[in-house]
Amino acid sequence: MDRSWWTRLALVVAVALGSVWFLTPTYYSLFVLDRADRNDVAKLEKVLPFWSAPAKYRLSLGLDLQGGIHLVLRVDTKTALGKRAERLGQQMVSYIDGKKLGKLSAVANTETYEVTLTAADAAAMDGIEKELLATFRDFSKVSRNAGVLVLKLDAAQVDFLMADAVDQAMLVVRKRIDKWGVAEVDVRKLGTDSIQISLPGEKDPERAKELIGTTAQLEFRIVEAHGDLFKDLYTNTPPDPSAGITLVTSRQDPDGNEPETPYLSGTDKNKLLAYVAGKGGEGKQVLLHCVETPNNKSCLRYVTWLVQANGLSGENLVGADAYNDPQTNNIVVSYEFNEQGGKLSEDLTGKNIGRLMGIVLDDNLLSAPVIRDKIGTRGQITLGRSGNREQRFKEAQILALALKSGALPAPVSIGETRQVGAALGDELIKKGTTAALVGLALVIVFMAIYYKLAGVVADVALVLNGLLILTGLALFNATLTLPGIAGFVLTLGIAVDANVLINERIREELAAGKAARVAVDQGYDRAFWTIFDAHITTLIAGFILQQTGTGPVQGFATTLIIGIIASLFTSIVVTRVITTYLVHGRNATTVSI
Amino acid sequence: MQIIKGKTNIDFIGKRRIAVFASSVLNIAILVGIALFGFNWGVDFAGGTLIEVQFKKSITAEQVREGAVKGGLQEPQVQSIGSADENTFILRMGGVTQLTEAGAKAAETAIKALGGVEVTTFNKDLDNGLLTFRTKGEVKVDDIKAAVSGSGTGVQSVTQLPGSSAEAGFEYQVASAGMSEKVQAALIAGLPGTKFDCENKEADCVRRVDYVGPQVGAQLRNKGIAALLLAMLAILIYVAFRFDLKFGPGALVALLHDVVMVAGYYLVTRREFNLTSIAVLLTILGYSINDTIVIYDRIREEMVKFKGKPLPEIINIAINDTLARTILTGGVTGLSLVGLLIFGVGEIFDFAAAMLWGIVVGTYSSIYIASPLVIWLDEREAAKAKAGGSPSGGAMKAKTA
Repeated sequence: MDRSWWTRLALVVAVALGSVWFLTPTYYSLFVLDRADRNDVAKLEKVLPFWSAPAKYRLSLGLDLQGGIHLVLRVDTKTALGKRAERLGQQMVSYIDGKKLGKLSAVANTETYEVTLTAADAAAMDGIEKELLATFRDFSKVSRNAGVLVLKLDAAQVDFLMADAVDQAMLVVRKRIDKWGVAEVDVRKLGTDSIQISLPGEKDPERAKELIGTTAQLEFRIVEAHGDLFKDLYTNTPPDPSAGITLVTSRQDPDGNEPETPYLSGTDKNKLLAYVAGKGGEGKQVLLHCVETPNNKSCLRYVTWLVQANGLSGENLVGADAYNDPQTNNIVVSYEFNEQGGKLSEDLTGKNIGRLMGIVLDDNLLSAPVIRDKIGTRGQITLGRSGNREQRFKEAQILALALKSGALPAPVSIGETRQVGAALGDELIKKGTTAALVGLALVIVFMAIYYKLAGVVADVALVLNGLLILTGLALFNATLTLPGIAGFVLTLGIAVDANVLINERIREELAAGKAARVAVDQGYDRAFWTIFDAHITTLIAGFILQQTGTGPVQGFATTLIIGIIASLFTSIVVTRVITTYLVHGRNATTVSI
Repeated sequence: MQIIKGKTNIDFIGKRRIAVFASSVLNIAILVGIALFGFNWGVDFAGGTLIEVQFKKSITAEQVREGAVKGGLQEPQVQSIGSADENTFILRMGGVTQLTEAGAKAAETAIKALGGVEVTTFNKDLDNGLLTFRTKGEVKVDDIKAAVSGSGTGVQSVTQLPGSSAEAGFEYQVASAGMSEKVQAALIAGLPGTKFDCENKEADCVRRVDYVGPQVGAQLRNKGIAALLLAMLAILIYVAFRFDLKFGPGALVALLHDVVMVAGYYLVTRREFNLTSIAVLLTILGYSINDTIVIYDRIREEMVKFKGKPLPEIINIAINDTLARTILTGGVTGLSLVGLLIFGVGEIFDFAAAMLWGIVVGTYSSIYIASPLVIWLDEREAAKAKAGGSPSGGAMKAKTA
């Protein structure tokens, strides 16, 4: 046994042990935890032994296997953009009018995002054109014919606005799902115009309609001092202990994210809301603010705020942006109202200088900046200085998105819902595993009979291959789906094929009268390129499917890619280490094949 | 143990004309069949609603269909899945929500007939099953719900939209109930004793509801097919690069052949063609290319070994040498599917059956489609070279690995 053999043996043993180690969280989440807690990382962490791999490396089951709802929402970015072009056209008209450069009329094409401007006086168009191109930089000139100018929204801007529309819709959808209190929601962008939502365990597909029914409701409401309101409420009518509501008396967050006077805090939004409903008093309302987890993914807990019952609607907002103010080095969110909104804002802020302005999205208090001046059409919110800069900028972006969501509602429709009952999911897992195990057992028995000891070696590789696929899926946080199981079967077939190729080659060499050791070495060497080519072609197909496919096709491709790489390793490295030992290590003169 | 003792010498290539002819006829027939009859598109691609229901009592698909029709459904498609004693059925409906053009009209009339309501605008969004309208005065949400339900469309919810006020008018949105609820209601009405409650072991259960909008369906189909084509192209490029340009087309045509043949399975059996079917096609693609490459690799090797021998003979040797492996691999992969065939119901069974067929076809095509095409391209090149006066003829050059 030479040194390279020992190195390879060490590698094989390390990979095998590593694979088992990485699968411990998966084992615990599937077989130790209750079904209801299967997705609960915190509970998983509690039951895991100290030597286990981190809980985040666990293989989760796809919705088709564990039950739940898969939703795809389509954001009609084209319509949103068409409306935007129309609005910008109107802005050009009023801008030129304001500059007293002439009278214009604008017609927007909602398909091509072109704005056709016609001047009442063709002679004035030269000046107008120059002024417009200098001011509306997102547009470029398409054509100019005397008094008719055609401008087009730049492609880069179109892409940006489309992505922006999807982001806005995502924000709203996330906030709404948050209201349902579903654990482990996965919301992600799908392609350029869709949002994919996974709701494990959710049973009612009709609730999806709540997500698209109305556009987000954004409001500005003045925050009221609540004094001892919550403290009195808590002492006089204590909440049900099981509701998990606590009274917080000391100010914990120095940055105004939480009220200064005693307030209530709880993790169950609905219970907290039910407890405070109608307790705000005349003309006031208690709203909740979600204190987010550090990664901004979900709400850690909710705290109570008191605001006025009526406010200024976000309908009149035209736009908002988050940026870094170079002069003060502060992160700010600037926003703009239309004329009507500007008047209302002036009225509301003028009366309330020094107080807090609550920005409320769908009954959630997002932020409460201090009103410093009377604010007209343009306002600016400066973010506090807590947390690191990156995180604050993220917060600012979320706030800007929220402000915009009142301004540019892109129509959203349900593209797809798939709901699988938990019972069916369980049955599929049971049947799928039984089917895979029966198939595997048949193959293992057959290989052992047909190739004797060499078959047993191939079986070892096959089992390791199966383990490696599961480990790979767990490592990449992929989910195991039904099409994934199909990919699993295909890869096992390919892994067996590699061993068949090697063994047939060895048999051929033996038949040609070669000595056992020579036959084994040449068999492996000759089969190598065949196996390599066959694996690489399949791998290429796998990568393309992974990149271009959607949903189930992607799940299939992920399993295939991991499986092919694992199969290359097990058939070329693992079996050879064992076979080399069996033949060279024991100085064998015959091969059991 | 050995399947094939010693060396075989079967003349595969001699029968290539018959095989290519038969395959071409079959392929064309399948393509014509697809053009004429189309697939039985699943809701994944066609859009619509699919509901899987399991009954506790013994019942046949025909009885379920009759019950659903009695309960008010129009032309439901009912398919039994699994064994008969599982009493599990898939119902498919074309629509997605209960709201139809006629239903929306009836609802509009009913809302306008409500006392003291002056409707200013009325919008219907049939794709999402939403009705949105504006009124001058305030209306009770429950009244709207009752009016729309009374007009024949089930209601999921009625909401007063934000921004409603005495000055601007009041805006309301009615979300109609989904098709799945209509199907459930119809089954409860048409089949006495039906009660849906999955938690209760004694009651019937709605196990799965899939709804795919028409636009997304088309998108899913196009993306699936695009992925398939792109994968084939990439494989062609790799094969041309690793072997010889003459090998590429053979591999590609063999792949196309297999994809068409498996599509033929769905055409003939009328099994639902959905995303899982695309996964099957992909699997066959992977399997078939694996099989073809193994034989190609052997051809390449034999070409170095028997320099000067005519190509058809070399290919015959290569196919014969790899025959044991070909049969074994096909057999073993088939064996691993046996479990799925026995324990799989519905989608899984379809998957396994189509895969088995695909393995047979994929193995066949490597021998009879991929290899003859290499010979044909080689002969063409030889003829061209002769016409050009080059004496060396059509011996292929082999790239060594």
